Amino acid sequence: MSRMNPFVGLWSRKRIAKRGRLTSCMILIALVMAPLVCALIFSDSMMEGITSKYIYLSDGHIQLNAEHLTSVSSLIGPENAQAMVVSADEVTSGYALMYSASNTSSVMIKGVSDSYFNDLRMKQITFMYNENPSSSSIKGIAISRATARKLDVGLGDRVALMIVPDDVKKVLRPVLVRIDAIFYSGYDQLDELLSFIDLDYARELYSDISSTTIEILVTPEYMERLDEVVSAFGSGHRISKWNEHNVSVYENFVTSRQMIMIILMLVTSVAAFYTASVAQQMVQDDIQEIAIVKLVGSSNALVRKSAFISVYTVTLAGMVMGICLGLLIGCNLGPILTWLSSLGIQSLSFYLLDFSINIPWLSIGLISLMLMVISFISIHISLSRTRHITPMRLFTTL
Amino acid sequence: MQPIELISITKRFRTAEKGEGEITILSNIDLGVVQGQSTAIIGKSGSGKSTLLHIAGGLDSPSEGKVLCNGTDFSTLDDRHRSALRNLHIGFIFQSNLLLEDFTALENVMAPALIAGKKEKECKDRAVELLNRLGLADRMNHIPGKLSGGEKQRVAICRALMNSPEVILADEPTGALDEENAGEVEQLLLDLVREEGRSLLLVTHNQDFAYRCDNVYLLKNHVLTKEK
Repeated sequence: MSRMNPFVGLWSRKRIAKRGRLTSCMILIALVMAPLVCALIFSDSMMEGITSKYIYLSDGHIQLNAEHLTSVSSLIGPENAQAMVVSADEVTSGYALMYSASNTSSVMIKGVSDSYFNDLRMKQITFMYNENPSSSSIKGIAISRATARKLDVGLGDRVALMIVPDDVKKVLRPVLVRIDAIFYSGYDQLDELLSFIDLDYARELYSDISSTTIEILVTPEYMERLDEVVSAFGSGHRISKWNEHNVSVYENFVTSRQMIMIILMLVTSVAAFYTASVAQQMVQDDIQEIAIVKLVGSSNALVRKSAFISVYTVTLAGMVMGICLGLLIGCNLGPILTWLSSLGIQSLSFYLLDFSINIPWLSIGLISLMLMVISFISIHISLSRTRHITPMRLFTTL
Repeated sequence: MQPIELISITKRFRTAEKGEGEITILSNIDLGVVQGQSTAIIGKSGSGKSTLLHIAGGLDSPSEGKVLCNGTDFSTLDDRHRSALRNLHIGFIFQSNLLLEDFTALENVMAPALIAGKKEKECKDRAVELLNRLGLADRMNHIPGKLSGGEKQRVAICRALMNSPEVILADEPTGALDEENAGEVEQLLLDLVREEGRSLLLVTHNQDFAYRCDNVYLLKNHVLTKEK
């Protein structure tokens, strides 16, 4: 690789030091990139977080329809079971209307055993328990904080459940349950639907076997390879993946992710084209200097290279600053969202406010690459007019 | 080989006032700048002296004829090679010194050598030596805006000599200076050209300055005639 002409460095440094316009360009690029990076972190982390909530609390990675808990090992072999499966829990679920003295709510009742709330699930949910449970024969239930608010009930209160049977000919049966726990997953949209009761009691309430499933959580290595796990079960089983079970949620995520990327790419393109206009303006401002430099023997290629490096250095510096700023804000989104939520902003109830930060390096890389490529091309094009600046300009305009 | 040789140079300009018509500025001019000698061109304002100098320096193209720089015809070169030829073989000095305003005196002087791709240290040493010789040792780190007219012109002379070119082309180099400064710069230029063994092609109104050169030509009615 040939050594860079020393004049290029000197010229670029002088341009950057002299031009307030270049500093403004750097700040603008930084101010564009920071929210883009922040938005990517927010959307990616939130979608990842919501997906996890649905998987761990609602459906598992895979649902196997079975009458009773079948040994997974016997279905896919002990080696596969060890490599692929973290847990398999029998769940009986159905819908019910929940009544309090003041309100009504429609919920999904999930009957689960004690082993259901393993470490993985407990990372997704926070329980508050009734510390003084009464010894009455009334069964306990865990409802979400959102449902508790809606029904205006608390720990130890009783609510009525109107079980909605699968068979419409069956008679509706109201039962009384006691709130033994209130949980919060951080995502109200999901919490509002969920309630947990003891598995055996759920079996009583929902005797229809079609509502019994086995929720399977897979090992991290197979999270992105669910099809392989499904095929390990072979044919003859009714198996569904979490995204098939929540088609609309999944498709919303996919569409949202694509739309966010398209919008961010458009914003990036505008910022990249802005650098071209800065380059153009710089050439306009520096006509005399460029003519002098050509007079003392610089080729047009050298002038273009020098001007390009000035603008491109500033663009890259702005981009790096913006990414750093975006990462800084993005990694502290939790406290920021919590603070915003405390201000009572209603729209935040549609978002997951408690999620682990997931930095989408690939998307950030794509956006950055796009900025670099578009600004590279557009700056080059806008600098093409330097070839019209000849030393004779000095004598025709003086 | 002559550092600059003009062969049958004619220059015409299209004029707006005369429709598609053209006016002739230079007609069939031959001029050779002899190695180690100074040559002055005198003539009235508008006679085409500066145009001749621009053509000689490869800044402008003749309508007819050719310019050889060290035996190479400018018209056969692309931008890169033409610029390189100008950079290494020709030094320019103009009435308005044409310094880069945000570069220091030292950086202005270093510029041609840096453009030529020489090492920064080597450029700096040579630039410092030239600035010292021209009495600008304590003004090296000043930008042109902080220098007097005479100092700026001396910086321009240093810049012209930076790459040790065979020929210096100077267009009214003392035209913007007061008498005292003008005399000083004239002497400096002639001494430096002689000391460094360079050729000088000078365009000036100043007859005294012109007649201190080895050769003097008069440009009149588009043609060049030798006066000395």
